[in-house]
Amino acid sequence: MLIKGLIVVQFGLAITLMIGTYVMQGQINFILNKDLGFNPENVVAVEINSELQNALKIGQLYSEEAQRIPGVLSTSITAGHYRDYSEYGVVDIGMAQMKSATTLSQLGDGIPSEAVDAQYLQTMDIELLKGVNFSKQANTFPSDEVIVNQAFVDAMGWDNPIGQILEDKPENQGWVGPFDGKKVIGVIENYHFKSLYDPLQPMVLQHIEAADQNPGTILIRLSSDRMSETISNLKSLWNSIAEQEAFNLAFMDDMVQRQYNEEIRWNRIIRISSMASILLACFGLFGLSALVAQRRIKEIGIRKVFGASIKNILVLISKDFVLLVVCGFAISAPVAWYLSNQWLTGFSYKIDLDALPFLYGGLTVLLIALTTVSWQSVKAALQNPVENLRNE
Amino acid sequence: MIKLRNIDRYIDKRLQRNFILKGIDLDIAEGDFVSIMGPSGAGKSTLLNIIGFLDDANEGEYYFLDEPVHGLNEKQKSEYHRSYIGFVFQAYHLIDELTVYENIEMPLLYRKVKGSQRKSMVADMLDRFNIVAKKDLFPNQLSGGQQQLVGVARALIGSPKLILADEPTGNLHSDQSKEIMETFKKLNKEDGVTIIQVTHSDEMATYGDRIINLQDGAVTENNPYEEE
Repeated sequence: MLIKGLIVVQFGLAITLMIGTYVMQGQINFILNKDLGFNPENVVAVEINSELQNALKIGQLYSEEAQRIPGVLSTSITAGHYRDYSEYGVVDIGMAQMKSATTLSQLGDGIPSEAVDAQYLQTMDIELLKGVNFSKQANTFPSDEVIVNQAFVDAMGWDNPIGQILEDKPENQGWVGPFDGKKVIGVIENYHFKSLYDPLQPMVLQHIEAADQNPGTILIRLSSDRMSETISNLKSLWNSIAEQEAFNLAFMDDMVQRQYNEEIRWNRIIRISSMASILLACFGLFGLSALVAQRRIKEIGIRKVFGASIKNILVLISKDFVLLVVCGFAISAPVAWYLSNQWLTGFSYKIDLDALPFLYGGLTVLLIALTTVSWQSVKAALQNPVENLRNE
Repeated sequence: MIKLRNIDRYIDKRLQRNFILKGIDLDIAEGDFVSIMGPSGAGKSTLLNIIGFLDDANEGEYYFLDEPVHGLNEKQKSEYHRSYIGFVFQAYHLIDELTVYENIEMPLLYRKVKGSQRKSMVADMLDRFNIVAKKDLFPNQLSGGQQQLVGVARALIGSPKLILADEPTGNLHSDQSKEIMETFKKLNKEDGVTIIQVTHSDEMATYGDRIINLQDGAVTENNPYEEE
């Protein structure tokens, strides 16, 4: 009885962890495969030191020259930083918080903003929903143009966003917000510039020259063919233009994935512990089933003599153990449901918790348990009953 | 009903072959009540097991109801075994965890008999052996004789044509032994059930119509009483 109780608890734990593994796997797959509104694949970010003199000039020169390299599809200069600080739990995918006020205060204190050039949308593969992009011709853009995302339009409640002038002037405070007087020329699809822990926010794109900001990154979209060759060409180009500066290149899809490093690591830990706990539970089960098969060896012999097939015997022996696993499931399902739900609340974008992980978790463990038990029960069922009934 | 021709059963050791049965020829007709006798180790139980499909001969031919058993596959064998044969053991071999009722019912579970039908068949059997009052008891709450009655009832529940009994009275007092033997005799005479029993006791052997003596794996005397 005590042994059975222990095995129920062990299986309860194993099933809980197994369900957890499936839920986490599901959520991680969901966030890694979710349409982010931009396409991070085959995009690399080359860091450029914004403290550098002539940083903009160097960036523009590099950007232009890079476009001539075969395998480079598009380049863009942005003021944002695309850096991986995942060891501190932070990954920057562009964007700076701009303090804003008044009219825009309904959008919150800080508005994420990025200073980019006209190739940004193309390089990031972001869809322009309404209006126009920044002009591609150098120095022809009026400095008061901005592009906003759909969330911005929704937050402002605009029916006709194009041509709207932003007011960003706190009353009686004597200072003017960074977006004051800017005209909306385009609306882009919402894209997730932050991890999926955070909800989509209203954001503003400015032209890097109009915003008078130094570049932080050159984004480059590559063709997927012969990528390493292209990258080594990009490196030589960098060395010829900015020989004093280190060439720092990062893949955007890696960075996006590293936002979830913690989750991926936890998933691995949970998966390994669930396997360990299944293994442990199965050791117990193996011993118990050996004991039971031994204790019932005479009964098995008698039943075989009176017509029981091998299948009948397997069912006979396994039935009780299935019951143990079912008990374990009954205990673990609510616990697993609670824990999974708790974990998922941290995400703004998450899977719906349905029955499938529970089903898979339970069935996986049941299958492993049955395999363990069948080792003993098949052995018992195959024995010649004469052998077991002889020495009485 | 049973025809054995030149049956050998042996175990191969490294350099020699140990025969348990050698060159057994035996005919048993339907309705016979046969007692197999012989000293320990003569191969009586092995012979019974081969007849009962629980063991296979190494050589020779075995016809059961004119069907060559040596040519049947496992599935067919277990089908024959299930439909035609009931076993009674010296040590009763009841299942300790099951009640008298459940023990008697057990063979029917493997014959796919319906629940309601099972109930009436078991009730008949309990009635026939006067153990209705004991149906909810467990085997260890019964005397040896009562246990063996349950064993016989279990062997009979599937209405077999052949009962194989391996020293059915070996563990019983003489009164109980007689009761079991009377039951067998009645079954044999009234229901025409063929019975083959292994026994050490001359007295029990005489309940049968025919005695077969086994010695060192061979039939030494067939029907000694008839010859006298």
